[in-house]
Amino acid sequence: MTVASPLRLLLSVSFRNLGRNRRRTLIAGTGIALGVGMCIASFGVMDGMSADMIRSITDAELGHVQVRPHDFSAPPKLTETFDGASALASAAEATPGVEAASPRVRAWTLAASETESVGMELVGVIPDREARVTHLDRRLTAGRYLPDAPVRWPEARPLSAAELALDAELTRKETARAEAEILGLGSAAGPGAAESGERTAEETQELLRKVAPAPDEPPPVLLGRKLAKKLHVVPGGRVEASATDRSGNPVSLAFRVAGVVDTSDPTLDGVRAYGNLRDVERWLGLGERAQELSIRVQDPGRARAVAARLSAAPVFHGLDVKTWRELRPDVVAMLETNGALTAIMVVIIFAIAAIGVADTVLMTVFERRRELGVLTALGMRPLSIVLMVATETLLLGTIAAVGGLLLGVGVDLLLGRHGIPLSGLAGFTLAGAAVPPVLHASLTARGALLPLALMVPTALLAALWPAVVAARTQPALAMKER
Amino acid sequence: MHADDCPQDWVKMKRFAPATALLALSVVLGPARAARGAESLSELVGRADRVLRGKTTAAVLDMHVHTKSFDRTYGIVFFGDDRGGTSRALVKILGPARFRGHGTLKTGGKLFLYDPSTDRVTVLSSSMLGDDWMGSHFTNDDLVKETDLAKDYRPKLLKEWTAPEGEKPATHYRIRLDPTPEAKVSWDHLILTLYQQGDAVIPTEEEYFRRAADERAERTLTFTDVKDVGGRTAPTRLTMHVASKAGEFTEIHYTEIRFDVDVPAAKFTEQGLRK
Amino acid sequence: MIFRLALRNSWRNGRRTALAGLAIATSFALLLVFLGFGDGIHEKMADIGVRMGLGDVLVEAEGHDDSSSLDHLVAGADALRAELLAVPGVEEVAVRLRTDALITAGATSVGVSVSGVDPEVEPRISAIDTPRSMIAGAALSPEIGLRPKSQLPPIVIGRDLARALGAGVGDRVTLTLRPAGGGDTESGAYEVHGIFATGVRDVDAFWTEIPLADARRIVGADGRASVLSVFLGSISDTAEAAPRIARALEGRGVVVRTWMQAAPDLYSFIVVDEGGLYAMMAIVFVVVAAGILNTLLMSILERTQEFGVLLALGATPSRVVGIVLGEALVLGLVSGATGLAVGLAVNHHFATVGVDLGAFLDSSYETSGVLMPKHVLSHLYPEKVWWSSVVILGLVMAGALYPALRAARLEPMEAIRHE
Repeated sequence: MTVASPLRLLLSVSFRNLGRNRRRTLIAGTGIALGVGMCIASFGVMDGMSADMIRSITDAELGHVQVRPHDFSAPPKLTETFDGASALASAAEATPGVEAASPRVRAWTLAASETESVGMELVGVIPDREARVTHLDRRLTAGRYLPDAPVRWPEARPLSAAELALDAELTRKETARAEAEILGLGSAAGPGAAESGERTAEETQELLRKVAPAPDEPPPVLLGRKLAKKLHVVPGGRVEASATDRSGNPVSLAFRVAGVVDTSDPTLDGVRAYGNLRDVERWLGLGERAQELSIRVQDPGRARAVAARLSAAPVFHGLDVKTWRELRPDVVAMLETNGALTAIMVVIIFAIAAIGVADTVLMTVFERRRELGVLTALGMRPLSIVLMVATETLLLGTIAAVGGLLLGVGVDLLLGRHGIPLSGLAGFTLAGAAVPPVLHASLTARGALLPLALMVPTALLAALWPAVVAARTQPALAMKER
Repeated sequence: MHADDCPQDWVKMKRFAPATALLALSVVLGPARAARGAESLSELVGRADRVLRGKTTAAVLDMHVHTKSFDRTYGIVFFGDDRGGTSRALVKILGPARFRGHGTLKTGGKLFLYDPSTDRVTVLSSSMLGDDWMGSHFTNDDLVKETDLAKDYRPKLLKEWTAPEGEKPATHYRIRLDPTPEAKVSWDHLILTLYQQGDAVIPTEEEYFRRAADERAERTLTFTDVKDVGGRTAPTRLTMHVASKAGEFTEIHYTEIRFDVDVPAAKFTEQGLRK
Repeated sequence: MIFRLALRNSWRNGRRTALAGLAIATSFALLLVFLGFGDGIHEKMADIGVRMGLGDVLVEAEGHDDSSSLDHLVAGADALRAELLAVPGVEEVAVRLRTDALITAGATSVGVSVSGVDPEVEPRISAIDTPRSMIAGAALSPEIGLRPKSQLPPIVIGRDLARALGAGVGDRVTLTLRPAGGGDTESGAYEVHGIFATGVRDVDAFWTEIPLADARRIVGADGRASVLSVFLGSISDTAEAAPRIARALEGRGVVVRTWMQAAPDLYSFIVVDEGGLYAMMAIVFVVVAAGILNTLLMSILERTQEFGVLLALGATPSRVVGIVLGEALVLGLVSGATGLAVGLAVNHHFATVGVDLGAFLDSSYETSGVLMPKHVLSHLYPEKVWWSSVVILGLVMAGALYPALRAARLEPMEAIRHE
């Protein structure tokens, strides 16, 4: 026994001891490895489900970070907008950590097809930006995605002095007609009024083409699946929408149904339509304004940091930057609570696993009482015996736990690729967050290392008592015992 | 109505009968001013409320909407009919070009909108009742609602004073109006200011309050430009201010108004709306 | 004979047996707590869900496919309620009338759901119209039916709706809706009586409740209801009670649905979560089995000499297997019983006192999350106690089988010479 390397000696003795009873070591090790491995796997599935639910709300609509005007209301009003939407989107995309940014406008409209009329929420988006933030293009179930370019829309121009005078004259004529009608009420109505009315209508149309021209062709829209069904339209069909523009004027416009999308949210699916932001802005007299900027970040875990960076940027001064966690505290609360429940369950599992490990180690030590007694008789100090048993356990625990880690990570990766199909449950939503029809595991550092970090000390702690008992063993007694 | 409500109403009426009789008596016997009881106060309120309303009404008016983002004047022709159980009204826009031919028809509790550019009539869904009407400071709901200040509110005299109005003396009243439980009213109370001059009862201001403790009215409607129109003396200019939109207003100015003339029923149909 | 031998063997090796037994007993006890806690949580989740305007079992008119439609209503709802209350297992029945309406305060309007509810019944079963959910004012109370005619009917609204309307307790609001049978819109004035916060966004932003009598008056649906929400003694009785209720109401033109059918999202979530718990339980069994196998194997290895002697004295291998299995059976029974007793005792504590989840949660979410249970009472089903006892005993026996066979196959002479 050289004093120079007591650690090496300790390790080699421990190794030899473990190797001497392979079967025992194998069983104890398998127990620990399976416990750790399965814990990692179930953490993986739980984390995967949470991540999928979060993704379902951030990807469907919200984005990870949103920029909105200060004190926006729900539902947002057309008067609560910010100017220079494209410039802001570009500025956001230039910010480190941001993957894509999509400005939007939403308006409640009354949509009518040939046969039906229903409420419709029209969201104006820039097609390629929206595709990058929410993958809207991948959710198409029929038809085509929105083309990048808005439809050609003749420039509106204010009326000239002469045209204004004509308009005023038309109003005066109409007013005079109305006054005459009122004064004539009760007596016979004067003839010929209808003809002049038709002339007025024609001249009005002429003026309208200048001040509020219609687009060359109906702008394209995507409809939610249920909405398309309610309206009985298919791609290629027409939908007429009426709304109130930014100035409070009633406006109507015909749209062409370009495609049908599955929004994945049952309520949204029945009311949602997407159009080109430019078309919607134009229709509702919004200029270059948007109501929200939805941002996808590269690492969802760093949404808060990105949000902080954005709100610090001067371009976003005066705007409200919020993460999805702030916008959907109800979903966060749900996930947190579920996480807490999982934690309690894991604590119970570890308690059970720890008992198994403690039991195994105790057995091993008691079995070797004679051997340990001999060692004591040969002059080995009690502390060394404790150290030896502890090292053995630590070795066993570590090797087994690493094995478990490999097992767990393997299962995680397998489930991450193939997933567990939830047979009979074809995907559903809870508080707006969709649980996917197939559960995929997601490997996180916490999920992988927490069971590992818990199991090794548990095994060690469980080994301490028998080690101490062994160290206190009376050599003679121990050797006599059978 | 619940069947078991009736006896209760009946009991209440019996209990109130002597009091009403006493009140009527005091009106006859007592000095005129002191006798200004609830009865005649509500009559004053009713007359002020109906100052621009006949059994039927036909009018031509300008509506000037002033907001932070735009200024606009509509030419409007209005037909109203209160003869039936529910009131009906037709509003047609005469100008400017962008809105010429737009119409709003109200029959019963329903509101129909007509847009000549698509030649389509839409029934307003109840979710759009809270929206502004044509960008003004009136809501669609203001058009649909059928409130009768005399019937839906209980008047309480806050202040009474005499001051000349024009050249002649007038008696002014400041009246607090609290909605009755049955009234379909979403305001806590109104304060109505009006004056009586000879036979005429002219409102000068209607203030709408959200809460009992509110100091400031949420909406204020003022009545000015009193003229002899359509055989009555009536204010011809109405201005609506909304507290949350400082500096903005909508002003209605009547240029022609006739009361109790025969407005054809065809006006209040989809055909009338399109024409 | 085998049993006596097993008992004596176990007794002789006191400490080892005690250790193995302790491990089994503790694992079993923890398993029971785990099961009770898991079911308690899911029951609570479902319970909170159904108390948000739903019920354990829903009785609706045939053809009533949209919960806020007034097209198909249950006629004679009050008589039907009395009938339902007579069905065994039915604890309470809430008669509700629901429709969509526009709520207006001053000049601000919002589209909402209105539920006409019975103030006598509702506070006992609802998570909305109950004093616990009120953050301002009060819940609709039975005394409201006796209010003087000069007083406005009361309405309770959600926190987010109150904010959107700018309305507080005591404020006057109006509801505008299309009455049953279509026709022109009706409206009526109400006084905000209370403001509730449930933590469920849609409920807090778009849900209102008024007394049933007032709802029937404005909607024009005397004696009728959209739904009769049946509450059982426990939500876990739903599957069993629903057919009984359906039978009792046969031929009445009503459809009986369970909360699982009416709220498939909530049900699916619970099923998935339950699946997760069962997966964890499988892990527990694996770990427990490894422990048991190890313990028994160790005790056999330690007694190699002893078994060698037994075999040398003419004991048949099957006899040796019997001895070892008998030992395991004794161990399993004694420790199982101990575990059962401890587990039930601990479970009883959690079933009566409960567990406060608040400690596990970030405190900033405390105000927003009532959808998930904050305080959970454990619920242990007797059948789960039975089968988990069987599984534990089975595990012990299975764990003993390999060591038993090993002992039986020992070469007597070699075994005796073994250390």
